Amino acid sequence: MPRSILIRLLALVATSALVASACGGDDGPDESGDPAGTAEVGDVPEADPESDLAAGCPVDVLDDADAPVPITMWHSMTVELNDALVALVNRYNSEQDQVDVELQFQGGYTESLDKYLTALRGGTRPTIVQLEETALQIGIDSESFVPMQACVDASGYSFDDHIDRTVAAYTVDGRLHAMPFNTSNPILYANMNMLRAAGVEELPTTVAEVREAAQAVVDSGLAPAGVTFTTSGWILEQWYGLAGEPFVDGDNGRGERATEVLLDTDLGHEIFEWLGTMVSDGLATNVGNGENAEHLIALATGQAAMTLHTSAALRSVKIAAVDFPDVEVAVGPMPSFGDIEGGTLVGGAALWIDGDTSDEERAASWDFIAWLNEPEQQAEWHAATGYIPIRRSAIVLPEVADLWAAEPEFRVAYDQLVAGEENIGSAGPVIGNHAQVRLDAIVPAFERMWIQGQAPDEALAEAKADADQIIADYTDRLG
Amino acid sequence: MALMLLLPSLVVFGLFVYYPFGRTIWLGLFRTSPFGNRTTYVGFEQYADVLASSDFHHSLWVTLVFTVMTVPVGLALGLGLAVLAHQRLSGVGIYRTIFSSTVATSVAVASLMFIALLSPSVGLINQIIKGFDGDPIYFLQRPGWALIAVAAVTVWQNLGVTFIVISAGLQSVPDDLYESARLDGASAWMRFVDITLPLVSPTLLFGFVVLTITSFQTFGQIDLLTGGGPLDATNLIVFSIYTEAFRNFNPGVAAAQAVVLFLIVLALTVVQLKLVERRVFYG
Repeated sequence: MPRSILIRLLALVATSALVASACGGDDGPDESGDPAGTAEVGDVPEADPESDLAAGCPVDVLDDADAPVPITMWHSMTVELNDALVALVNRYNSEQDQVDVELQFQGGYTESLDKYLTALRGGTRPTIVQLEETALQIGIDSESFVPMQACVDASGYSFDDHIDRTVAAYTVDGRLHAMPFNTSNPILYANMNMLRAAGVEELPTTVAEVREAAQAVVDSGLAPAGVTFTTSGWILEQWYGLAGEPFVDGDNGRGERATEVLLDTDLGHEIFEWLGTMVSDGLATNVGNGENAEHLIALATGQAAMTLHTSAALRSVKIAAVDFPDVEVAVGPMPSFGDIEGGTLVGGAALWIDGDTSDEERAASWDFIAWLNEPEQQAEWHAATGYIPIRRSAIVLPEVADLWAAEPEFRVAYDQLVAGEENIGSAGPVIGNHAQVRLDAIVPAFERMWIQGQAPDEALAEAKADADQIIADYTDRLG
Repeated sequence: MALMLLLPSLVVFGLFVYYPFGRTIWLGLFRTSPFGNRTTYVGFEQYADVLASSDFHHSLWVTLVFTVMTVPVGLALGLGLAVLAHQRLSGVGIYRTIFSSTVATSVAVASLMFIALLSPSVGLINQIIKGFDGDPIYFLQRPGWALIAVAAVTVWQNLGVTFIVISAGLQSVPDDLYESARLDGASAWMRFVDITLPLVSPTLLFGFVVLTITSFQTFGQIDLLTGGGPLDATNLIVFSIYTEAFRNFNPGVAAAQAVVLFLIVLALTVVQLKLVERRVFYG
């Protein structure tokens, strides 16, 4: 293997390790503008300058500050994503003289959250921290952040131009807790050359079509498997979101605190059955947890034709794919089970303002965070990474329009996000120890099913019992 | 005066070893909220829970198997390489440098190298297997292989240190012993068994104890290579403590596990020293 390819693969490994744990997204294969529906959960909060919260984020004090207010931001962006973030921050720092942002890389999202929570017990805390979507309930429970709603209220901020669901995803109890920044969702990555050679002309859009395409690939002997799966819990949640069904009780944990996962439903059984039989019928392989990008490497080296992965890796995948001329990268929306009545969930990460901060620091943080949310910055960020531009007006800017004309793959994730219905299911689950539910309940169930041949129904029952136990233990200790 | 001389190290040890250790024992007595701000005294109940937990037993068992996989092999390889490099040959310094080079490799670098080597799709080892028409082996993704793979990385990573320590032991064996053995007509194998082995046995004991302790403390390669999986196949005890404390936000249970681990390692080290020391020849 030439050295440059090895280096790229390792870079891909690094990017993938970061994003694999954190993806969510939102979906709908057809293109449309406005999301319909206005369920109570999933509403975008409005700014209320009169609210009690507003005093917690006095945005005006920034104008009175004599010198630039220094703030620190903990982040988890690597490789291309890091370069893009550094470029944004440098531009922000040079364009204005009220705020000076210092980026501090803290490892992956898990490490970053660990470090933040440890710092709560006496340590240096950042002004802003980037936390993945699974940290939402933990962030709220820690009671250590300024609710973002405070700054929204104080500044009279409007979310009219935002894709509603990116905002609704971080809204619990009618209050925005963190500001969306890097938003992604899962998309289908395929090697179109191989699919065409197997007689499949169009990317599958449902899991039934995925199965047919995988069968065609295996039958034609082009690859040992049609699909590669990673053992990651977010795929499962995405299918719940697509179907518009809640993954946990309590209105997906947004109305009341969740107490159980709703796995024992028709949808849950259907998903486990499909995932289990895909592997037991020899149409799919499991290549581990995806942290080493094995599923993408399998695609690159002709071991399989399709895989599911976050849209945030699109830029990295396209860069790596240059070294594999036999592979034509095609991406499509996340294949669904039956009709789409929701959307893929809003994945990625959001920005939180720490509570142990001065008025100036809060105002400075808000200024920076609001700036990152502006269409121009979202457009630049999208083009450099593959993260979804969360502003509707961003897509008409030349940066995005040109990119989409040249590389239409980049609009897939955006299209499926805006196409999603707004409802309790597509708002996504809010669970106390979300990461642990994925890693200690869902992932082992997939592994037992895929590696040890456990029956899908048994795997599901065990996953539900484990997950409910984890949720109960967390809630109990919270006191 | 003696106390004055001891003071600096006592302060450092007290601050960074004994105090945290005491705190850990203390923390193990409390059921802790996810953010550590609310605690309930549960006494030794938490220790009893840990000792009765099947997950904890599993982690202990995996750690034990891992130790058996890594320590004897590591010592044997280190000894072999040290004896090979303990020759008066031209250019032997180059070999010594190569053999000890893994000292300069961090766990992170070693793990990344092995991720690339062991990859089912592009890894060198699987390329060779495919060259012989074999099916690729999912070293890090299957429970049956993962522990072996992680053990191999660990042996490789430790080899440099083991080599250096045993080489140092070999330097202290007087040459005239070999000379007179040679005059008596002892074969190379006899010289190795009857002279080298007994005389480096104190070093080997040292290596044995240290490698055992480090294998009980293995963390980095697990975090990077397998994340404790698949199906807890590589969920070594320190990794399990880490996930309990920092991913499951359960510091109380993690502290109790850490204290139990300390007692086990302590007991093991005492047993090793008592049992094995009798067989060690101090010249």
